[in-house]
Amino acid sequence: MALLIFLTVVLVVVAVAKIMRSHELSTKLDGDQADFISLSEIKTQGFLYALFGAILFILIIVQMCVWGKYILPSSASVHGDEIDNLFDVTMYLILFTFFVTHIVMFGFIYKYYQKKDQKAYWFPHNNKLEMAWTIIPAIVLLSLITYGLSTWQSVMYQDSTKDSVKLELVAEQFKWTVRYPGKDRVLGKVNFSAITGTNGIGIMTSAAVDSSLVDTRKQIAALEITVKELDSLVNIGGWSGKADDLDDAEDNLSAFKANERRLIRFQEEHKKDAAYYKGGEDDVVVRDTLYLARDRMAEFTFRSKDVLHSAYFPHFRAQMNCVPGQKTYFTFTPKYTTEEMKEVAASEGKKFVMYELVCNKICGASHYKMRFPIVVLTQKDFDARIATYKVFGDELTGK
Amino acid sequence: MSDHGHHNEGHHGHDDHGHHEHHETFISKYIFSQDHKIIAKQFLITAIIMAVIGMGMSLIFRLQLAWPGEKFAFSNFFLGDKWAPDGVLDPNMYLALVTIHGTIIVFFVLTGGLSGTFSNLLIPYQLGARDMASGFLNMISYWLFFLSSCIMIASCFVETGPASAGWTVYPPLSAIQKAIPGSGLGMTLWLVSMAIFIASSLLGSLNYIVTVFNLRTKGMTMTRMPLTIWCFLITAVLGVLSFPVLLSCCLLLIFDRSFGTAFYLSDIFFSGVPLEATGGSPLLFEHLFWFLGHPEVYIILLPALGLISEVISTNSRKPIFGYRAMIVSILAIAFLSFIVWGHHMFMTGMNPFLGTVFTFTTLLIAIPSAIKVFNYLATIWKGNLRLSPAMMFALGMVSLFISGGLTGLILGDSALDINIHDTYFVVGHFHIVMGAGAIFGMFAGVYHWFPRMYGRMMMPKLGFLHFWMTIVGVYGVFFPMHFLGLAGVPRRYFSNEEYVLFQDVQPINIIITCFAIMAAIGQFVFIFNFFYSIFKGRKSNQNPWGSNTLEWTAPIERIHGNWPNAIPEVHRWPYDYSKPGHDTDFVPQSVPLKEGESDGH
Ligand code: HEM
Ligand SMILES: [Cu+2]
Ligand SMILES: [Cu+2]
Repeated sequence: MALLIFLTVVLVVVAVAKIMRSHELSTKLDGDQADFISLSEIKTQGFLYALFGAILFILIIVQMCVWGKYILPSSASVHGDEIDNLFDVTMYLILFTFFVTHIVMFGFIYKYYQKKDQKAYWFPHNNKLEMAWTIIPAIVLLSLITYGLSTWQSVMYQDSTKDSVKLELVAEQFKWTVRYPGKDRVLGKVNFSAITGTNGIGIMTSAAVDSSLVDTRKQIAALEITVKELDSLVNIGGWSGKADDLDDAEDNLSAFKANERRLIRFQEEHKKDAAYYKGGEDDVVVRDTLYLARDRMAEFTFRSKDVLHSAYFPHFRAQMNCVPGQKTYFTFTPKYTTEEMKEVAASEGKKFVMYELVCNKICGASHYKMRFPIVVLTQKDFDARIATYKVFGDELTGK
Repeated sequence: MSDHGHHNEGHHGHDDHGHHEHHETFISKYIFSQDHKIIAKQFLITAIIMAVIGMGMSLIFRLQLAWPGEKFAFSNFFLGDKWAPDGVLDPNMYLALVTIHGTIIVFFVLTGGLSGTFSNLLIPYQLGARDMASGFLNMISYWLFFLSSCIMIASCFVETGPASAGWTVYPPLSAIQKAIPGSGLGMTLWLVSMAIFIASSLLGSLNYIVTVFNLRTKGMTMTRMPLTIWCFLITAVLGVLSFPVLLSCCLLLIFDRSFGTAFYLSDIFFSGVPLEATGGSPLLFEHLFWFLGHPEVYIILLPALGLISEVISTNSRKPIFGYRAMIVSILAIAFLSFIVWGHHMFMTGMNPFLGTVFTFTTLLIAIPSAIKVFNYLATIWKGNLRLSPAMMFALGMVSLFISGGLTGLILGDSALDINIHDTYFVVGHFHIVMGAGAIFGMFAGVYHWFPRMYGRMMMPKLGFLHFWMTIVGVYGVFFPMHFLGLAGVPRRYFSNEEYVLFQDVQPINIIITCFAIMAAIGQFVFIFNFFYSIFKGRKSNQNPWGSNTLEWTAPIERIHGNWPNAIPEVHRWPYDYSKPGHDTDFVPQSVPLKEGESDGH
């Protein structure tokens, strides 16, 4: 590699040196008022432009043939087929326009480069032509918009089916957690105040709120001591090196106090309406893999605990950002189990090993490692698989 | 050839014409100058330096992308043992480089550098004005630009590294100081630098607008202005309307970072602590950012389109086709560019109905863009194309504008964006249309107006070499990226090796990096040519390209006030090239109409 770079540099330097030589010679010959660029040079450049065009076209086609196999295999979700069709139509249109306009451009350059007795044609405007190339693109684009929006409509507004799974995907630096609703088929309430070591995504059952309150109070007690210590260090010793730590500790203290207030409020609400917070008891939390069932609509809710992330499912033509402080949604129905997808991909000459979930919004140093395996199973296997996990209520109490 | 550089710069102006009596010291002439021509050169040279820095950064992270984990003395040399131990790039520094690279190229090279250079140079010249409306504000504008550049560069040297949240600096990543090292002091400096940059840009833009409206010479009606001026004017309007929004966007971020407010933050549990801030929304930031962000891409593109309109027409020896349609297209693009920002946010969790609206407006913008392309093609049809280096770059830009604009049709369609948002497809798209496109426009401008700036010519053969290395490099780097994107490869990834899905695409990355290295080497040909020609280039005559616009009626020597005597009066539009009934193939704007001749367009 270094050798290659070295060679390129040498080549360029030699070329520059040669050009400089000939440049100085020609300057001497022509005197000052001659044309600055000779007709023969222009001819060469016109020819090179056309050659470049030809090579560009060939290389584009070669790339499509050679790298086409890297393009994602056909969609593994039901709605994805619509997207793929729209993509194909748009792509054909784009390639057509690309080739036509470029052929015209390279052609004109080759045909009309400056020649001795060539005269340019006075052609400042032409209403008919201008109308044509306003109206034709307008019609094409309006149809594309209509087609595109109808696809968008049907992808983004999918009606729940009777047997759809509502599940939740929670992102944080740099991992994913999935939550399934359990037998009651509803996801329990969540709030970031309830997050603790054992309740990583903040599910709000009565027990979880209580235990988070205990934790929070422990933190407050510890922080109060820290603040006092640092305070005396900073004030007595005038030791400004600890001032930042003190600031941090004070911020954290007031954050935990706010958390305490919120949790107390939640506790009171619990007392009034215990059923309201029941939903989370039988939720199932899975931390290693996202399991999905074939042919069963998956209605995702996304959340983030810290910064923005994006849940990107390339094979399923699905993506949605995970936003702290807000729930976001996306719905799709897997069409092939992981095993079936291998065959589908193979029949298209493409490689497929497994489904993966990709974090697709810059989220920190290990953003590039924030992957999550996805496994699509048949309904039966899926149920069996989920049944191997403890429900949240038990997990929390260590049952 | 004697050393003529100094002559052109000054003495002649005084001795020969005695136009300006007051004495200029070196400092008032070259450093704190209020002369639009000097300020233009200051912008250009600062931008060249920033571009070299930005390009160097991209080489470092391209090496990592092609050969992840490999040791490169090159990286270690520039980054030291902390950020590239043994020459292996640190993932934090990778993100920092990507961020600062983007910021520098988008704001400092293509916004500040491009508009700053050519609006300053050409607005007074082409309008027949003696200088900008306010030379003083113009000077301040440059020095604020310089200051903000220095701060941005300085931010690279702080202990925790420069800002690393991407050039879009989305919170909370950019707001929580510990979320990534670069969100410490580095991010603060980034925001300070941008605030100063925005002030610079606003002063510049206001000046451009006032100048265009007030200082046109006699006969220079709005519809006799060259398209360059139209583009600069509209660009300035876009800047004045959108940059203040970025300023407030940044101010609110500063508040969130330093003063405990919660405009963008809510319900965050970070490193064991449930943060106190609640009630804000990162989406607010994204809306504010892209409300500037999309107009910004046209703030970058329009000046470049303006420059190539002039270059293509002059070098085709033909009037620009559809002058009025071009103006209407520019206005339409400018208007639409304010109502499309949501296309950067289809996948943010924004209500899908908004996605519908933004898809509609976004795809509409392709209509005026298409009109412009067809008009350029019609302009070169049956022309007499003088393929000067400037013309080569201008035609190259048309090609890039087509290629990148077309992939915009895919991204702008919300349903298709679902699967390619934030992948390398986007990176390919915007580098072709905006990055390379605008840089090509800028190169076209530099080659074309170099004689106007320095009284000398750049060497055409080196220009051709530079052009070929650049266009081959650009297509070699950015075209394959579309394939990566269609394979699902996300942008801003330090390495693709963690994923099973991306195991096989590495050959594409290697090829891309090879082309990137080649293109970078090519830029040194330009830099050599540029600086050599300033001092040793062949002397140009007053109107080397046979142009119609007024800047070529002013003497080669730099004088205050541009024209030694009365300023020229304008009698016709700027595109009378090869007009029937004239002996020459160009008729400058200052030439009165012949009897019975119509000001024909
Ligand atoms: C003509 C000049 C254009 C410029 C300078 C330009 C510039 C850009 C830039 C800088 C981005 C990247 C933003 C980011 O994600 O960080 C971008 C993305 C995008 N561009 Fe363009 N673009 C242009 C034309 C178009 C056209 C004609 C369309 C549509 C018809 C378009 C649609 C889009 C869309 C939808 C995105 C967002 C993609 C995504 O983030 O997933 N662009 N463009
Ligand atoms: Cu992430
Ligand atoms: Cu945009």
